[in-house]
Amino acid sequence: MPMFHRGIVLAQHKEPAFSKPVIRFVNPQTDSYRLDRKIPAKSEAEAVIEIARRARIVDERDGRLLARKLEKALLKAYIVIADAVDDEPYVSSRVAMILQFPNELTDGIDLCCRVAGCERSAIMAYKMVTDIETRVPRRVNRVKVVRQRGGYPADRAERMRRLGPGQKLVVGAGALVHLARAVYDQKVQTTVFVTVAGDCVAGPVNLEVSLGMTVMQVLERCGLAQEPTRVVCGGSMTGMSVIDPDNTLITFTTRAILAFRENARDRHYTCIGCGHCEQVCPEGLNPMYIHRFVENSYYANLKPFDAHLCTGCGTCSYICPSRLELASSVLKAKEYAESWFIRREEEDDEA
Amino acid sequence: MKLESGPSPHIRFIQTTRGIMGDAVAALCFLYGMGFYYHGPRVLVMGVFSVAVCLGCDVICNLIHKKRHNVRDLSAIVTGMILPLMLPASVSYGIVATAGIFAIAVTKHPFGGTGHNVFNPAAAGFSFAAICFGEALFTYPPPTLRLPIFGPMEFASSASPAYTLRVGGIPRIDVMDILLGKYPGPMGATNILVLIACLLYLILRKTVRWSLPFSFFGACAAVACLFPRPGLGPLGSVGLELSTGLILFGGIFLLGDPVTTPKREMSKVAFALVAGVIAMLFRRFGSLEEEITFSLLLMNAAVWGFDMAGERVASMIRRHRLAAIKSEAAPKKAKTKTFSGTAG
Repeated sequence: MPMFHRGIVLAQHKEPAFSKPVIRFVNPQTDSYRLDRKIPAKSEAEAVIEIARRARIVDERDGRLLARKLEKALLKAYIVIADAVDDEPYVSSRVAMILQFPNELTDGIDLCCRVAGCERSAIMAYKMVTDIETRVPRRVNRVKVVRQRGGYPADRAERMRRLGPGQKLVVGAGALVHLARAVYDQKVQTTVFVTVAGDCVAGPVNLEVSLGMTVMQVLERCGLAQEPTRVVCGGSMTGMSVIDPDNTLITFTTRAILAFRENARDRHYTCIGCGHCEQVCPEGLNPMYIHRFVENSYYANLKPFDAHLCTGCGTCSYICPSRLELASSVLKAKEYAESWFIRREEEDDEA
Repeated sequence: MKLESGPSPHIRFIQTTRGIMGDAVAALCFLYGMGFYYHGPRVLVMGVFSVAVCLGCDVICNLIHKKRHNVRDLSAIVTGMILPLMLPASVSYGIVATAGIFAIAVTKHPFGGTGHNVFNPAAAGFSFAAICFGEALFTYPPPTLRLPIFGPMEFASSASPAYTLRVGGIPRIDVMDILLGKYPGPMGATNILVLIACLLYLILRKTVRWSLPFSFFGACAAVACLFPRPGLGPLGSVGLELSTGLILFGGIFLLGDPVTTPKREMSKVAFALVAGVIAMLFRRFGSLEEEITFSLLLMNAAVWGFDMAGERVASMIRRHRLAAIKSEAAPKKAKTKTFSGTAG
């Protein structure tokens, strides 16, 4: 009886966007911004950090400034990892960097290695993709591609542990490409790599889009095959739905724009307690009971359910045959648990 | 463009509640086919009648509760299909209607309708009918007798193997007849091969978890093997106890009901083991020959206890795992610290 699920296998739907070349869809006014050639710095590492700061490169993984991350890892990290793990279906904007911009990607990794003062580096890609036409190579310009096994959600932490102890510098693949462009071409980051896909998009493709463009502009660029009922900014499993695509802008952390059409009639079921949510939860939680308690505002019984361990992967909602919004209930319970139970435990410890 | 907002995830697995219930309906259709083969069209008419009663009762109860009836909810149809299969083919329509109305109006809707019922509706309907019309429910027609759709039944009633076992005898039936269901008994519960095929279908479609029926049959087999009836060897006892009566049918279709069983895997196994032992005790010492439904109803009341106990064990395991991950990271940190300490 495995209690901790190693993730569920999702149909990835990465084609045809993954194998197509990345298309530039940029604003010519902002695209011409260049950095000063003269950068005051004592060492090479500091120069790279200063360029990253001036080029305003943001890591699309976590939305943090790349310069801050580099400063933290300065001469400390022992390995640089380029994160190209796109484990969510439809999204391939990071793993596409391996195929489309291999030289810039490895240049970015080299620069990070110089900052961190280490020689080891790796690119992390997702293994559980079976429906792609182009294979992800094992090596890119002598940088090894480490493959993340298991289903969704990809257990990056477990893979990192296997790479050994110590500080690791993990940077998104898109940010590394932008770093290489900033250092060698003096380009400021004004674009971001975005996958446009979904069952309503006529021509799914990976785009290089200028920051500040609207979601609607991007969707119109790829064409809509049918009227969508839901437009999503971000991954298909964890992204946010957009109500007003004309006034929603592309930001540094936008990985994908997805358009879906769903059958509204499938949403009128009640929970039959099948227990599928409990079977797929990677943390071994029981979303069904948590949902039931949250629905009835019965928070007092939530303690043994450990809702604060939820990672927000959304597998419970995905698998639910009754189409319930389990994940959002569990996140609500998580907020409650963090605010109340943990405070109480601290009080107990103090007492 | 009219867009709707909603929390993530934005894609869903293809399986729906309707699909799960539809799988059960499909599996039950095979049993109706076998019933038709042995007893003629009366079985099919009985099934349609029972489904109509349950569905009508469901709609009326929803009206009383001022809820909109969901056409895509097939649970009342499944209850309606399960009920007649546990009864003899010669049973009167009135009994089926009574059982169906009890199942839906007393067991299901007062607790809140689909997904909220504490007790299994089909099991409760059968138990109610067994208490009220005991004699008529356990008088089985000969296995290959074609029955008229309406009108009086005329047949020499024959003892079912379950009854023979209960009164202390040993039923003399060919193994092949047992597998093909060619012996007197409930109209859906005698076709062992078809039932096993249904179980495999439901497990492969992931509608039923394997742990539940298998631990239930395991517990029943263990009790039958350890305490065989007088005059029977352990192996013969296991074969006869499992294949006659409602054990196999109930283990698949009554215990497979997701609403009234625990959710966590370990709770499921514990639940099924206890249910199996109680079912065998009832069968051995009870006054009726088909008492798996009573044991199931008894266990249904304890589902919450099993779930909470399972959750507490799971909570312990989760915390142990977290501690293990933390300690895996911690000693290595300690090592580097001591190393730098000696170097400094």
